[in-house]
This record gives sequence, structure tokens and C-alpha cells, in this order.
Amino acid sequence: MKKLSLYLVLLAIIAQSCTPSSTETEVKTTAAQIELRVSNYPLQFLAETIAGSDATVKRIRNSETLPVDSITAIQQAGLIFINGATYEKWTMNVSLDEQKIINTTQAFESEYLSSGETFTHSHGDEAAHSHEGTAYMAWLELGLFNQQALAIKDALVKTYPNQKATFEANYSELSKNLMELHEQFLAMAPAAKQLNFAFSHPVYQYFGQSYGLSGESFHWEPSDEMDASHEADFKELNEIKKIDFLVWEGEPSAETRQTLEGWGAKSIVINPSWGPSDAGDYLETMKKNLEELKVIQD
Amino acid sequence: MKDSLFLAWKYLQFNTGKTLILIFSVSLVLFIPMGLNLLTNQGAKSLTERAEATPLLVGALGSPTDLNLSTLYFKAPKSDQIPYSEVQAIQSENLALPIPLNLQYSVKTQPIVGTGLSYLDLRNLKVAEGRPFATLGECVLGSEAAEILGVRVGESVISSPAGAFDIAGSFPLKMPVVGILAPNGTADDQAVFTDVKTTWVISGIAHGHDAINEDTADSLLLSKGENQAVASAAILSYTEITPENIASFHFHGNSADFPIDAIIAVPKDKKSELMLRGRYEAEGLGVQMLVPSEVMEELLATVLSVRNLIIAAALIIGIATLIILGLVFKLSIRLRAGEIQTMKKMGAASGKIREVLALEILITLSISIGLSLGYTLILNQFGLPLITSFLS
Repeated sequence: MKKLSLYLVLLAIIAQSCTPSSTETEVKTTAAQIELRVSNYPLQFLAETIAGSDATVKRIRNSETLPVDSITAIQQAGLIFINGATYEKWTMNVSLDEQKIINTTQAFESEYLSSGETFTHSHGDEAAHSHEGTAYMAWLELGLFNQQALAIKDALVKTYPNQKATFEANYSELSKNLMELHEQFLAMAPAAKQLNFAFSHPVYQYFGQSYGLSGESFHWEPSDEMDASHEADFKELNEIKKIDFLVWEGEPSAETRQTLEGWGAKSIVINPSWGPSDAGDYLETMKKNLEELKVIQD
Repeated sequence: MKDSLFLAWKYLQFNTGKTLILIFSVSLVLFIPMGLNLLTNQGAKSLTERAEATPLLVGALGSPTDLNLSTLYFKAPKSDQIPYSEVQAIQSENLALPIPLNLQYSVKTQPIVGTGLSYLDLRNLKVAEGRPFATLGECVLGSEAAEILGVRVGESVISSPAGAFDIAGSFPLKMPVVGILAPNGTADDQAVFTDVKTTWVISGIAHGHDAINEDTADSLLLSKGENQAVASAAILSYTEITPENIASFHFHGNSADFPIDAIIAVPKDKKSELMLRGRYEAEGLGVQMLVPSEVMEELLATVLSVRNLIIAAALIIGIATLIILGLVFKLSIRLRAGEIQTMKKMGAASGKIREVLALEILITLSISIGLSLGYTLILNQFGLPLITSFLS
């Protein structure tokens, strides 16, 4: 009888140890099963760097309407990273699981800058109102961009906790690179504040505020030829405050550079990183932007 | 025994009318408490299951029962709506998944449920035909809603005005049906599901129209300044959202202020649930959070106590009926004195006569019990759906 009891106890212990615990039966997500959507290239860079190259990261076209096929594909993604700050035109027109949408600029939404007055409308039964638009290109300011990276990392860790170590390591490396570059840009600020800038487009609000570049914006394309209307716009601003540098999004022609130098302003190119550039990925593009900016020290 | 049974059966057969009356009256007396018990248990089970599948509810201050039943069965609660900022508040707490519900509108007799895709996941609602809604304006129908409205995937439904005297209060919107859900056996089968933003279009908070800018004709505007314009009623809103005009749809105001009727909060775990409930109970946030299963339990306790009273009354009536039945049999035996005498003269012992009479009663009661069980089985199968369709 005693032997039988002993055998039964042993059997029970063996049976218990063979029964998988709830954590052992949990399906562990591998990197290859991570499917992410992002709303622009800089976020794609962040997501790919932090999640690793095995994760699938796809960009959502930023238009007011998205094809239904795209929306149903986006609905299947594990996480959807958006820029916020009014960048995305499609968010109010589509049905997505709100839990999956991560606004990467939400942590600093109190620091959003204005993009200037916009034309608004109201209807007869509402009070008339106007308001300023919101500048969204926070990704050009590396300190803020690092915060966007942090938001992505935190969301990935929360959603795929078994990959936490990978995400933390990747983020740590990335953050170190971003902040080092940020410090180098900040070091340019004292020199930049001594000068007056104009911008080809109003896309440098955050960049300008942090790195000391202040000035007004035109709506000029790098391919524009400097004609009489350009000259009139330039001179109007130049009379208020002499323009030392014109900041372009892309390389202007040699003639444009020459014309502007004739008007008293030098041209520099700060690539807004809408996509990968000739220099390479986002980080390489920003390094090239830094080199370009160093011209102001001369 | 067999011969006694034969005699008893033949007597009952001969007096068909009397036998049938006795059988049906006894079966009904037995059925009433059983049927009532069954119906209330079935109803309670259905209500309880639905409530238990809904972890937490947030809504305006007021009657918890009204909020509970309205939200679970898609009737607009009688209390005020709450702002969408409550959804954002729960989201920022990171303790639960908030699922908004806007229940103000309907398509004819079928309620429109403005919510998110998470609701379909919560209720495990599968799309049997088509796909879930993807863009503003699209809708997905419950299986019964599709049948009642007579629409298929690819067709459209139009939202009904909020009320006969509220013609200008909401904007009838033509919504394409992109999916039909598999039957679920719950109130979800009756609903028209769409994104909560679509219900804001119906309410007029969002709309689409031709662009209003610096070039808009003055005849369409009440006023125009350097940076803003006030549109007149001549600017007509679109009554249908199409791929061609969806880009023109926009919202006026801050989404945090947009109205909803309730929020289903799905906590991450028990600790998160307790923290969330504690926050809402302690901080007087201007909204209430309730646990649907607890509110339902209280409601059912009231219903069941009423049921118990009715069953007790039915039992008393049943006992009275059985006493009267006993009297009927006794009187019947007296009336059959001649018949009983004949049996004695034929050589039947007193015991045998009592056996025959007892078997008559037993057969009557057995058939009555059998019938009442039969009624109960039929009620079990068809009762609740019949009552639901009768009430609706």
C-alpha cells in the first residue's frame, strides 16, 4: 500500500511537470512576424532600425483617400506609427483599431509650432473662427526625433515583449547616434543666431527654432528660375532684414545660386528627408545637412 | 393489473370530454410554474451572458440600469451623452482598451452602432460576407438586420431622421453595406455597425461639401475675411460619402468634445480593472463606471423575486386545483355508484375496484404531466425567440 501511494505521488509530480504552463504555451512573436505601418520615411527609418531588419515595415501614402485594399492591409498590421501634428491627411477618413495607432509626437504636443495662418471656414450657425496650422516636421529636430524613436520603442516593447532586449539595444544605439548629431547641430546655433535666413518652404520650423535659424519662408522650388516675381519677394523680405542665407530643400541650379549671390544671399541645402537621399538613409542625410550648415561658420 | 388498466383506460376513453378537460387543466396548472421558471432562467442566462461579456461600462451619470440595458441592447440611453475625451482619458491611462459607442441613430427599425473595429473583436463577430468597414461612411450589418432591411453586400442603407420632430437635427446618410456578420444569437445580429466617426457625420459634426476658399463666390457665403469665411446654407453637404468626395469630409471642432453614449472598457488584467474602477469611484469625474454583470445581477434579483412570488401564487393555485380535482373524482365516484355496484355484483373485490379508480386518476395525471413537460420542451426551444419577436 505504501509503495502504491509513493508511485501515485511520483506519477502526479511527473504529470504536473509535463503539463505546459500558460507561459510555455504562449505563442512567441518572432521578428519576422512583426508587421508595422508608418506614415512617412523618417518613421520608417526609426521602425526598421529599432524593430530590426526582419520586421516588415511599410509606408502609408499620405493622401486624403486611401484605397480600400490598402486600408484592409493596414488593419492587419501589428502597430501603426503616425507622425501626428496634423501630418496625416487620412486618419479621420479610415477605420482602424485606435489601440494600434501610435502618435509618435504626442509626448511633445504642447511644444507644437505653428505653420502660420491658414484659410478656414465655418458655417452660419457656428462662430466664425480662424486658426493657425500646425507644423509637423519635427523629425528635422534630432532631439524631438529621438522622442519619436522612444515612442516607437516603447510601443514595440509593449506589444512584443519577448523581443524587448532587441528593441532596447537597437534603440540605445540609435539614440546615441541621434543625440550626438543633435549636439553637433546645437553647437551651430550661436553662429546661426548671428545670421538671418530665408527658407524656400515653410518646413524648417522645429529645425530653425532649436538650431538658431530664424527667418521667413517663401514657396519656391529648387527648379525655379529666379525671375522678377522671385526678385520682388526676395527684396521685400530683404528690406526688413538682410537675408544672409537661403535654405533650400533640394539643390538649386548654378544660375539660381549665382542670382541669389548677386542679391546678397548664399544658398545652402538642408534636405528635409522626405525619403532616402543620395547620401543614404535618414542619419546619413542629416550628417550631410550638418556639413552643409557648417558653411555658415565661414 | 393489466385488466384493471384496461378497465380504467376504457372508462376514460368513453368519457372523452371529461377526461380531456381534466388532462388539459391539470397540465396547464403544472406547466405554469415550470414554464415561468424556464423563461425567466433563459432570459436571465441570456442577460447575464451578455453582461459578463462586457467588462466595464462608462457613461453619463444617471441610472446604472438604464445605461447598462441601453448600451448592451443598443438603445440610446436617456441620460446625456459624454465627450470623446473620456475615451482618450482611458487610453492615456493605459489600463484598458476603450471602445466608444454612439447609439443615437437607426436605419428604420435597426439601431446604428457607431463604434470601432475593436468592438467586433470583443464580441467575436465574424464577417460572413464581404469585409469589415474600412472608410468613413461604410457599414457592416448583423445577420438579422440584413434580413429585415432586405439588403446585401454592395447595396446601401440610409440613416433615419433622429425623430419625427427633429428633421434638421441629423443628416440622413447613405451608407454602403460592405459586410454582413455571421449570426451570433445576440443583440448584435440586429445592429448596423459603422465607425463612430460616421455617426458624427450623421449628427452633422462632420460633413463634406465643395471647397470653401478665397475663390468661393460671395453668393455662397455670409461673410469672408482674409483668413476665414462663414458659409451660408447655400453650401450643401453631401448626403453620401464616395471615393470621389471623401477627401472633402472634415470635422468642425475638437474631436475631444464630440459626443458618444457610452464606452466599453476592456481592462488588461484584474489589477488594471481595480485601479480603473477605483479612479472613477474616487475622483467624481462627472461620468460613472459600472460593472454590467453586477448591475444585471441586481436587476435579475428583483425580477427573480417577482418570479418567485408568481410561482408561489401558481403553486397555491395548483394545490387548490388539485384539491378541486380530488373533489371532482370523489363526486364522480358517487355518481358512479350504480357502476361500482355492478362491478361488485360481477365479482370484483373492493381492492380491485379501488385499483381501477386509482388507475384512472394515475393515467389522467400521467398524461397531464407528460403534456406539461411537452409544453415546457416547446417553450425551451421556441419560447424566448417568439417572445422577443413579439415584444419587438
